[in-house]
Amino acid sequence: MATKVATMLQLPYESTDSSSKSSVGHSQTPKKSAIKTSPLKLLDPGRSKLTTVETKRIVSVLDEAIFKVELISLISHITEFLDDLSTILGSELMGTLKEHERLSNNMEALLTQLQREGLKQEDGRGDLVGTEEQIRHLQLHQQAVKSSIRNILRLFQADPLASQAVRDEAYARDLSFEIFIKGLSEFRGFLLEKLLTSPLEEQEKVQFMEEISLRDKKNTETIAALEAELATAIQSRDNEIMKMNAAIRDLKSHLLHLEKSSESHIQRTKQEAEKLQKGELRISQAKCAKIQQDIHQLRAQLNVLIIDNRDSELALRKKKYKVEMEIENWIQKYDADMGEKQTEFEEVDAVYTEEKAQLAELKEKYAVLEQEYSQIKEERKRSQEKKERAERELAIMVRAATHIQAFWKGYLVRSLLKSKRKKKGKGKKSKK
Amino acid sequence: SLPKKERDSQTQTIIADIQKKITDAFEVFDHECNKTVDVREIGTIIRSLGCCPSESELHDLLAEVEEEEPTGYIRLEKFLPMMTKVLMERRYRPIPEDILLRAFEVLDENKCGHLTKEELVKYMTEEGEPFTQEEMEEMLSAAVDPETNTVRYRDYITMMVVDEN
Repeated sequence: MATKVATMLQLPYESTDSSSKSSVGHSQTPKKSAIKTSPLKLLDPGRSKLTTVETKRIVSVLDEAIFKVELISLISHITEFLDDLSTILGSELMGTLKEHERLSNNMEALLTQLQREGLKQEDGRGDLVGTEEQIRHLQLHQQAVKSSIRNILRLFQADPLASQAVRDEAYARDLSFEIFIKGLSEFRGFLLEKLLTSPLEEQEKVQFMEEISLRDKKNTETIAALEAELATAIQSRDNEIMKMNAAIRDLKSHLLHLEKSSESHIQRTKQEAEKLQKGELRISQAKCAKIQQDIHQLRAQLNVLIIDNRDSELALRKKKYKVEMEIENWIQKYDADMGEKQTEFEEVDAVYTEEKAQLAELKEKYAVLEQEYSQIKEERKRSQEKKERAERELAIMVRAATHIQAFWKGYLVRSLLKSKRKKKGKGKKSKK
Repeated sequence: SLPKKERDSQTQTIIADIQKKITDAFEVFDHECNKTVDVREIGTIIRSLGCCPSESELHDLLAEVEEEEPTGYIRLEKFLPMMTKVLMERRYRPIPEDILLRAFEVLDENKCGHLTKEELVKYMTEEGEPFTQEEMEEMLSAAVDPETNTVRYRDYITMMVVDEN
């Protein structure tokens, strides 16, 4: 926001202390460098030293006047404490100062007299106006005072030590004098500046100032606009706040109301609760009594039970001990048995391994024998086959022989019968 | 194709023929003319009727026709139906020529087309249903070529088949 405002205001941001840096080249090209460095440079004098004798003189006269005024302003003070300063001021200066005191006192007396007579009037130049004679008298006095002052000043100028001492008393100076001296020194500065700048530069300055003022005007406009905006914003915020306040007020009243109602409610509930509590308390006391009674009864029962249980426990313990003893015996027996069994097992195992070895040996032998057996079997099979083949062949041969024999027998019988029949046929001539 | 009646009558005549043949053959050996023959003649009778049974087959047939208590004689009464049946069914027919030839070839181990006399004797008296000495001699006289002393069985078979027909 700040930067925004700054740009709006078009403030020249360059600081004035940069003037000391650029002041070196002022005598040659004041204008150019001024424009180059900073807009504010334009306002500085064109050069730092006075070039002409006239101007130097003017300035020195002004300086002297200021110096004198400073002294004069302290004269009344000095005259008051004249004795304190006597060592520094010297006899001549002391005398003139005393003279001056006297003259000024006279003049004051005259002025008061004039005032009392109501003749005092002030014209434009500040001179007193009175009767012709009085005025003349006054003018004479004025003349005397003036000359006395001139005298004093001249003496002071001749004695710089005294003048320095007097100037050290500056704290006692009157306020009006102070303002006047300040005005004079300002005037001296102003004049010096004026003398240091040329007319052309002045014109530029004026132009620059106009620009600045124009810018300033714009800035003020912007500011006004922003302010208006701000005002509306504030207004709206105020409204908001007002609304909020109203709401808060409402809420507060509501809260108060609630508090009241809740208080009453709480009171009521408390009363009810107390009533209830009393009732409950009574009931609970009754219950407690009953329970207490029960407890007594139960405790008695418990005691009886405990006694009983102790008896039974004792019996059981005895039994347990007995059983444990038995178990121990059993275990011992079992251990002994197991030991025996173990040794037995080991023996058997040894035998078993031996037999196993034997078995392996026998197996080897068996394998050899089996091979032999298979060979023999093969041979037998072959011989069997051979035999069968021979038998088959024999059977075929037998069949063949039988066939031949049967056929031949048949043939023989028939051929015999045939020859017999022929013989018979020849003999008997039987039927054919 | 013939009607049943006709066929039946034809069969009847055939059976009658066959039975007549059997009776004739039987009567040849019925020396006492009492419709019985010696049991030893039965083989001859069956063979004379054109059958060629082996000895074991003949034995089976005999068992059929013999009396419950063997008397040594066979009656026509029993022989006729059995033989009729055998002939009707054409059982024990002589084996064909080619099978006979193959039988000889089996015995001819060298496959040279002939058997020596010794071989024939050996086979016929040692294998099958061995011949008696008598039978063997009968066969040898008919089968052996006296010059080579061998049996040219192919020629011998041809001879027998021709004789049979």
